[in-house]
Amino acid sequence: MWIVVSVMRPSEHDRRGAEPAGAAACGPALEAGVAEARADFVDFYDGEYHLVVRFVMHCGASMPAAEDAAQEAFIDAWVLTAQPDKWAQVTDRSGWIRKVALLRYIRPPGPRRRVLAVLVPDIPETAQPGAGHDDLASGTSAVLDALRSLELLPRAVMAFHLDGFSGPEIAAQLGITQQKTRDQLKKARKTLAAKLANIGVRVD
Amino acid sequence: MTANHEGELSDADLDAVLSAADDDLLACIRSAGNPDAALLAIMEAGDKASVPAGAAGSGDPAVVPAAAIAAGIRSVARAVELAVSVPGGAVRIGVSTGEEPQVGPSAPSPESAAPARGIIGSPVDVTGLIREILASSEKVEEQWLRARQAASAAARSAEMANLAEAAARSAMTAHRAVQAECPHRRAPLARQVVLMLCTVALDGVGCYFAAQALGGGLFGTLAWTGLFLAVLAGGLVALDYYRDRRRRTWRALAVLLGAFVAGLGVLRFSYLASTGAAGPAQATAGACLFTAVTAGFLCLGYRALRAAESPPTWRARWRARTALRAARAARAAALSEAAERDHLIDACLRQVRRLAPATCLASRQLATETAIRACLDPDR
Repeated sequence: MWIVVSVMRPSEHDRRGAEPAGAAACGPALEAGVAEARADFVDFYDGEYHLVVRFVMHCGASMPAAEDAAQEAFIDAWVLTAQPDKWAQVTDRSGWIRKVALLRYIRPPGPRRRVLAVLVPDIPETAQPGAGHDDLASGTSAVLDALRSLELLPRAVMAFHLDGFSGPEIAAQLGITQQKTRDQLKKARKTLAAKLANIGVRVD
Repeated sequence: MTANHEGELSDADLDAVLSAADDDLLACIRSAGNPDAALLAIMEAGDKASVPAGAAGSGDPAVVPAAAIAAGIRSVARAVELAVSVPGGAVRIGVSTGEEPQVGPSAPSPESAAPARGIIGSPVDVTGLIREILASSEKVEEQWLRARQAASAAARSAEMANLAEAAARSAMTAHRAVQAECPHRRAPLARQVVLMLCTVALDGVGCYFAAQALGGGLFGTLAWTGLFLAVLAGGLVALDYYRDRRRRTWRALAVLLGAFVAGLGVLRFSYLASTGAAGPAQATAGACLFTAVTAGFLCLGYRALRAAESPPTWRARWRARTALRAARAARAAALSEAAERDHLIDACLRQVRRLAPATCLASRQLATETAIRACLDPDR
């Protein structure tokens, strides 16, 4: 099957005026609430999308898998904006969208399984479209490799930490105690410091 | 960032390395994607996904399951990703159908070995290699079939183990909830009942002396002793039962039990005095001593019962323990099945390693093995 995709920037009307399914059947007040929530969503998306992709990559995903997980998380958020009350109840949206993206990465919807990224220090035999690990600096690739070598929980704690979340916020998002958060963070940092030093990464 | 082989990273160095990597990664993500196109696709897919569930089976082609929508999003995103590098803004790409090899005890057909994304991002097609290996011998084909069956069995066992562990967690939660109603009663019920019966049995000596005062020969004495012990044990159980239910009944029982113990003391005194072996003072002292010992053992038995968990807690704990044992057994079975699966898959991969150098580049061998492993065990 072949499709043709035209690339164009969405107009402001496209971005902010997209009608939610079933919204037309609701009252004007609810419609206004939904429109406000969706405008809020667009601002939220603009500010967080790239950061969420990076967060999922910190959790061990390849770039395509991270984009998939981030997009699936934002689909969930977009669906939630159809119910402005529920959208308003999400107070820590940055943490919430990361948690949803992480869950989507660990267990994608449907019967699919993500192919785990396997790292091999090889140069691609043919040019690959889009950005890949070959476009990253060697130090960045080393950091990602080191992060992937961690277990899932310390990796997730480290990913939240790298995005500037505090210990209590991380504990709340991951459903663990603050003490455990501190322990996992300490363990992750120690492992990362040892691995990165082992492979000789340093900042000039 | 550069690389060297000196010492270990300090906290400051680690923060600097991570910060630099973060910036580099973010710049790479920003340059690679097209967030506006992805946003439009998200909006479209989100609106379709928010269609009421009842419409899902209506046959309306506009209603698409969420997973299919997500797959569509990915396809569109890939197309956009490719298109940004093409002048004119239009590109033709193939859309993956998202189909995966079927799980089941069927031989791994070469067609089921869909090209897997390789270790360096390019697809690895192992169809030809699998066809060649399966054609080499019937034994080899049988081995691959067994590997596939073992993978299927291991997946089922793992699922069963997960279910059993979930049931065990649920039973343990229920036990904790029931236990929270009586937080001070935590001792195992069976052990505490045995302790209570031991204290009652130790009262047997005193009760035997008391029963001798009633006469009736050895059989009659033993019968009276048994009756006295039954009254003491029943009194203890009744005291424990009514302690949390009816305080007035409990007090009345305590008074009656005390009177019964005193009555046993009187019987002992009459027996010791009637035998004439000792004077009244010594008989009184002996009767008081036995009565005090009987009362002491009764107190100990009562305390043992009061420390015991309640019957509902005991039942909940028993269910939780049974579920935990079942979960452990299921996990052990799952691990055993997984070991068998890995053993067979490793055997299959040995043949791949033997044939792969002739069919693909050595640098792609790991990717090939990963793709074949995914074909043999699609659930992993």
